Amino acid sequence: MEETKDYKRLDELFEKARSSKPVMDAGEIRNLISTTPFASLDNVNPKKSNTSLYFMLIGFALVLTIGGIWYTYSGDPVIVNNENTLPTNVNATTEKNDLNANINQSEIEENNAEPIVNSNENIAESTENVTTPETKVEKHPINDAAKTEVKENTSENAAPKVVTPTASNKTSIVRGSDMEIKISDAGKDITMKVNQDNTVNDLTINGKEIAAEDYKKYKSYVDQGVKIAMDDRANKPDASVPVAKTAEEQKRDDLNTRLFNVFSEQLKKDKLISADKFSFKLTSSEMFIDGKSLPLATQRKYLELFKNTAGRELGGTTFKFEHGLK
Amino acid sequence: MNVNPNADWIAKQKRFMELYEPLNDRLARFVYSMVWDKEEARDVISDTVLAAYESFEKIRNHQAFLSYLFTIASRTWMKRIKKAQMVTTLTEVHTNTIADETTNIESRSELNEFYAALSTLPEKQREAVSLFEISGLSLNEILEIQGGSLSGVKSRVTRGREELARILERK
Repeated sequence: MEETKDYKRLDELFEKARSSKPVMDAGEIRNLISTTPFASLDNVNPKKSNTSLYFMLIGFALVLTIGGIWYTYSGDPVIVNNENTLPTNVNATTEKNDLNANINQSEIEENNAEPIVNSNENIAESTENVTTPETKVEKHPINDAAKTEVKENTSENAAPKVVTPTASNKTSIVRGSDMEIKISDAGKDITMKVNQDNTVNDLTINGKEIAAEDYKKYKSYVDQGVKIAMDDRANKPDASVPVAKTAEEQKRDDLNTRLFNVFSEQLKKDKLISADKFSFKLTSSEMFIDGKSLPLATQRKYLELFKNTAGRELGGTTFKFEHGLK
Repeated sequence: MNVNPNADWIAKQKRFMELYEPLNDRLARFVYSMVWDKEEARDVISDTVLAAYESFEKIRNHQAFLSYLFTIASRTWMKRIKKAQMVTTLTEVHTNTIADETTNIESRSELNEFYAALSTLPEKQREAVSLFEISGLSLNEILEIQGGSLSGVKSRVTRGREELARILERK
């Protein structure tokens, strides 16, 4: 009998789901197919439509190719370091990484940048095609030889080596009390630590540690690393200056604070937490404190608490926070 | 020879809607039970319909169209699920619940509980249960969509129902 009762309730719920209002009706679907772009392609002779489309695409590709070739050979100076050869008056900086603000002819592109992990210690970022102020501006045609050209200069007092554009020209910075700089150049992976006083240690090339007395042989890399660290420190946003929040951000922050306070207080009242360090996670079917699952009755209570505090159901998302663990 | 492209276009739409319209409600409820978000469900349905509209003329009959449509829907929602980030921190925006003016608050709350329980099932199982119970497809039709064996489909439906009953009993 017990088994029958369980399935009876389930079947009732299925029936309710079957009779619930659909999220889209047939009328909306009719409008959808009558107004989509490809649907209008049918509005031509089917035998010709594909051919004209192909010609359009080929024509477009030709225009792009011719335009690209014309631009390349038009005589504008190109920056050796930048694979994309943008005009020199373009500064493509991003709000996440603004390393070379002092450079007149710098171009920074951030492609596929890593998201910033907010922590008190380390923030990791990566950028591509970072240029330095000593970058030489040269006029030359784009070809494979130019891409891999490296100007060797073995003199001790020579200007830093030009970093030529390659497919993997990458610089990354890990910030901390000492900055860890990583540079990829012509197949070499160079890492170093730049201290607060701009001295360098732990220089490695392709994983091989370089002795301190040999640093002068790699002066160009060392200078480049120091320059990157100095520029980064100079351009980091001032943490003491508060950034203005939008109304939506403020509203969200207020809700977060309210949720955190309400939940922390209730967890303490229910004696579910005793320390100031804990992790909490709530879904529509489960609840965890410090990774341990709690009874359904408790979970239901906190689900209700979330609804009363946030003004909405938790639904298919997860509500979680940590306190004191970082 | 005169070709009237407008007439062809309109005829194609009419043919599609003749096949699609009887299945709209079942498809919409199935998709909603999978993604449990009104706007997401509308996106999945739109993508499904547009994909189905592109090549439906190769379909031989009504029966084949049902499998064709639901197979596209199944693949579309799976792609979405895999991409979607279901875990949120404090700052994430909540998903919508379905607005159904015909049911009272208690029913809506019960339905939400039901969909929440459904969302905890493994994807294939959830899909099989939803297709069978909510969209009313037969086991053979589900087999055409999910593949595998008939016994596999039966097993997914049975286990899905058992699991749902167990979860709802605990609540």
